[in-house]
Amino acid sequence: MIEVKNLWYIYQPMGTVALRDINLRIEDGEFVAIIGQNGSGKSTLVKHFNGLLKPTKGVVLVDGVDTRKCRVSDLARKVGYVFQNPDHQIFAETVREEMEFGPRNLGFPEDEIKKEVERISKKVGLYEYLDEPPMSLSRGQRQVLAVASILTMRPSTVIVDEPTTGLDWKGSIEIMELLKDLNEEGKTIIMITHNMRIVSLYAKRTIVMFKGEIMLDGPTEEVFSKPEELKRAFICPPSNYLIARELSKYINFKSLTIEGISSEIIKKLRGEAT
Amino acid sequence: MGNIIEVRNVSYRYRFSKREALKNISLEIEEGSFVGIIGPIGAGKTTLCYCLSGVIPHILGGEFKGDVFVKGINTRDATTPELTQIIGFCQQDAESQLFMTDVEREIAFPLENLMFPPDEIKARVEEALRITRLTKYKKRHPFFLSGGEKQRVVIAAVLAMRSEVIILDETLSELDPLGAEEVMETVSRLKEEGKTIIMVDHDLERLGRFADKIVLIDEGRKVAEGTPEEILSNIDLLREHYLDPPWTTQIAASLVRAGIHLPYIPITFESGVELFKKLLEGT
Amino acid sequence: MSLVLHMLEMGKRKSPIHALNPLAKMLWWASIIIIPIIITNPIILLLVTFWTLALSAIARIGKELVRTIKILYPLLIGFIVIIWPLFYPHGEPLLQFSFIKVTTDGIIYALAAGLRIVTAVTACLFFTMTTDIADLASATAQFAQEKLHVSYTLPFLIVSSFKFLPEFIATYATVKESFMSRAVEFEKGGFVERIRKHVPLFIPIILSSLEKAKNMTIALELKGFRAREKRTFYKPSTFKGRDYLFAFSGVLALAICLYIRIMTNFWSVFFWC
Repeated sequence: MIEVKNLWYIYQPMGTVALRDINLRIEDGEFVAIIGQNGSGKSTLVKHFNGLLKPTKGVVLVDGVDTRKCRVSDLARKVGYVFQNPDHQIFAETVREEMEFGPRNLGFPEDEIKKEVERISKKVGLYEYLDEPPMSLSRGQRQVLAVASILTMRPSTVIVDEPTTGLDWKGSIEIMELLKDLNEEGKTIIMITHNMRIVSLYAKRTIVMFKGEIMLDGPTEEVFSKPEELKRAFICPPSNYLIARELSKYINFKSLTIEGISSEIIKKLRGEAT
Repeated sequence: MGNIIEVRNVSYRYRFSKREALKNISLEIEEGSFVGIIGPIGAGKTTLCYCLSGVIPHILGGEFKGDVFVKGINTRDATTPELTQIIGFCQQDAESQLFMTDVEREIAFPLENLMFPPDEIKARVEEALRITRLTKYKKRHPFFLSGGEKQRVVIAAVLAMRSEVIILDETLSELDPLGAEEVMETVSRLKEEGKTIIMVDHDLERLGRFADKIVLIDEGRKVAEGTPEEILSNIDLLREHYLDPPWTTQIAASLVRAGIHLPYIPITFESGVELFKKLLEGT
Repeated sequence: MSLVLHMLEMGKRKSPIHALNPLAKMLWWASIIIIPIIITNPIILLLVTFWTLALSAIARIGKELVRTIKILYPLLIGFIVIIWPLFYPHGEPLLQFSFIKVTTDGIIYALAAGLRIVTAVTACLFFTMTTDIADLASATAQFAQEKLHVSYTLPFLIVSSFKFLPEFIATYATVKESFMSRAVEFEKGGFVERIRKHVPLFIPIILSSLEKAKNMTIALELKGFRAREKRTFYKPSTFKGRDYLFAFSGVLALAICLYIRIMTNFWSVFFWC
């Protein structure tokens, strides 16, 4: 569990305020999306969760422990951070070595590491590539490798920064399904993204940030149904919400998925009870 | 309006590669039109852009078969400086296309290289800054610009050459929504000025709004070509090639499958909502 | 890093000094920087330093200059003043521990050495904060092209590195963070071990640079780089009266100091003996 109390972060020496009085609580097993314009403070906030940044004011608690009292390497056991560009993370000669790096640094026993690497590579579809160089993989596969290299450290929380950038639709769905799977296993997933479609399809909770503050925080459906606030944060909800809003005069939509919207329109047109 | 670009039976294999990146592609692009190129990753879209702009065969080696004609000139016979003044190419990564420590110098850079007189350079720089709305940033170091602003600088540098054709290869793919909107605004202004635009993009709905023609590329082949209405309403075709059709189109397709008659298949948000409202008003 | 970038960006401001031809400023700077090398007399050095500060005020960079001075100088001077006297052998000893002698002469000389550094660094900061690197490269390239028939490649490489350096540093920071997030403890271990830990950081950096290199090559070719024998210049460098005057003032100061050095005793901090 991650708790943030009255968090302020100010960049020195320029004195720019990146985060203003953030209060937040993320329970175990949540699937949270953090959205907001560039410069709203998303990455800055999330870097406090694994200790890369320490608060200027306020406190961040990970499983009850103050992050200021921990090293990043301690927090890496609990909170994994997958960076936006896998090519800024991948360095090893083989996929296997890349996946072994994290757990080895944490001091896991060798036989456990080997087992975990095999298990996770099978899960993410990289088992056949274990002895291949990472550069021979496609961009989408490298993105998966970046996630897998964090998973071998067995963190209970996984933070992913822009998981779908640089991927086409198919690649995006593949990585998101992996994250959904992990969430169903009990891991907490925190995702920073600009892709509203993905947010509406996968995130159960959405936090909207603007100029270093949290503007909205709640279940995704609720958040996307507040167009005025979203507009102020320069966020445009995905088209399914906009469609539902435009047609709300005729139908009170219960489901906001494409399939749901379609079936409710069909029922209405057929004169059936909705 | 004739064809400004003609691609005839182009095939291409990268050096050190065993497979063909492009397989026998033929294509015509009308002057002043806006052509959208779509397809999954690895389809060959960037390779096609390389062939259109002369990067292939002049800069990259490999095996290039077929011909590309730009304003009637075969790209094999023209030099890169000649081609670059007819076709401007904006690659996906903005940072690897910017070399100067301020914006106005970046725009002036290609003109200096090609020995334009200083007065001409000055006029073109001002014009490019104006069109891309970057005048207030002219002395800024690109490190301090947002993603969308950087892409606009890339476009401005291409505009300085006053090329009639502008290729945008995934220019918006890594931008936030605001940045993408700013760039799209510039691009639509270029279209109004009569430039021919070729744009590779993943957002089918956005492309559908601006394009006169959509070309679907996959595995090096031209799979389909047509108006946005023709291509983007063909949900099965798009799904087959791992693309995400516009969501109003997907809803419309579900309605059709359920036996409901639709006068047309919408491909944009606005036309979809309008259609659904009309249908629901009838109930 | 951002401070360095900020300093470089200051070269883009507007002031009577900024408007001078960068080559004139370079000549002035090159002359002034030789003075602390040949002179240890504090009076001369202080005069030169105050002259530089006065010019900084005209250039309207006074505030930033003072801020940098406040941070930089105590470090530089403090270090020199403490270490130097330990190794200056001449003169009457004040303190002595085995072979290390600290003399009054040593202390005086150390202070003079500190002042030399101050003079030199002030001139360098002044030059950096009033000159746009791209203007300098362009003016140099123009001069080189017209008079020496030398190609543009070197000035281009210099300007480009100032464009790419901040991005490179930012990438390095991100890569380091990604390694820290995988439990690499950079703060721990001896000197050699810490260096070793930094080595794998360069692999992602180099690999992503290679990909970028291909795109950059394409971009440069398309921008007509080296397509022609020569090039024209967006901001043609002109040498006006005031440029000559400014450059001359620096050269004159140097000439005077050279005379003092060769012909008189006044150059040394110990000129009274």
